[in-house]
Amino acid sequence: MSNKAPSQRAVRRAKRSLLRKYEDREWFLGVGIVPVDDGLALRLNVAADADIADDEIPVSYYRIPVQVVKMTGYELRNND
Amino acid sequence: MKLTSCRALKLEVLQRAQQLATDAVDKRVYRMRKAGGRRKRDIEATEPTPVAAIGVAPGKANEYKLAVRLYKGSDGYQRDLIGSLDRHMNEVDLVTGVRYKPRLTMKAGGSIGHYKITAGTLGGFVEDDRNYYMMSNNHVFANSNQCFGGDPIVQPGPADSAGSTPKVVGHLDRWFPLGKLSRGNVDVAVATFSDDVEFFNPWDYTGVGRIKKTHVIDRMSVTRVIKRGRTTGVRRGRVSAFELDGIRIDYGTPTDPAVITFDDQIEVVGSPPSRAFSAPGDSGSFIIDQDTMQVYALLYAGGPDANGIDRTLANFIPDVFKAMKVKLVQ
Repeated sequence: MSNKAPSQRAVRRAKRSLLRKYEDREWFLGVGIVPVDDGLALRLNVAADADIADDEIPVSYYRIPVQVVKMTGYELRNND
Repeated sequence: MKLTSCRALKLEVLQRAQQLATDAVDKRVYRMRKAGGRRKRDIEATEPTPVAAIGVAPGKANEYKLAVRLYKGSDGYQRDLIGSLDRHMNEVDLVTGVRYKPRLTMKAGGSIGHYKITAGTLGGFVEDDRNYYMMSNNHVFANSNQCFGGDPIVQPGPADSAGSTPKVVGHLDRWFPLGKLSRGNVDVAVATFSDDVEFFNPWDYTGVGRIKKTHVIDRMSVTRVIKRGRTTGVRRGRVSAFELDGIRIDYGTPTDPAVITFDDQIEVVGSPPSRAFSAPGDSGSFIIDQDTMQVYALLYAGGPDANGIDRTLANFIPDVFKAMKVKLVQ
């Protein structure tokens, strides 16, 4: 892996690719970009209760690290 | 006249004003619509009708005048009230046609909402070439598209006004229509002010500080943020993700779901992460860049991850302003 930090453009391109790849999966809850110490990484939100195979989500994608966050879901923030 | 004389005269005229108010009952006829029916009927008024406020007005060099404020529509009572003071009219400070109203001052960061919702937060104030507006979410001001232009916006939000009638502080002007098929959604609406609102404070957020009149342009330039919301008040946070795509939020009910997809969203976690940045009721809050005091995002959703860390979602503010064709008040 190169030591050079990926450009914003490269990270965005990778994000869009991840979106296309996983958007239709039941466990998919969003994909984005996160700031990390040495630049940017990818973020994949997955359903906390989903049964996902160990090799289904890569640890990096186009050489960009992928962080996985297990979410229970987002809700509106009006008072219920 | 001296202060003691003025106070004595005030009591005398005040008694006369109260008597006139009681007498005025018989002179007024109320025309009311009969509850549930089409016919109008006259009813007898049972409450005194105030005709004037009486007080003390400062004069020259330790001298005082009797302050008489005749309410609008009560000009006819002037002679009955102070006619006997004809000789001393130079000692009366008379103002007619007075109409006192509650002077509401609107500040951002408090409870507000469409009259049919529970409660959200007044995010801030914006303008275009025609008007000034209050800004919050579509699901706070426009009841998630279930609304009409001109619908009342009340403060505090209906859920916070138990036992009292909420004040109508504005009227829904326009909203971004949330679409199931659209990917460019922003959850925003704006409302104009009602006549009861005399002032609004466009830049000061209690406990946060004074915001700039310009907003953030680069969504990746912000790390530390702060907001003031109806439920959690002032909270600090850290931007944990940006340009989040494929975010799905259900705007419907358990029996009638309406899932809306959002792209290019911002996510914030609290500082420290164990302290949630927001909670239900904070929807509509402006999220502010703590380092530049520029408005960064519009809060609308959130939820916990599997570790119990709450993650707040927000629309990037340039996307919001572009959708509504507005800018911050200058």
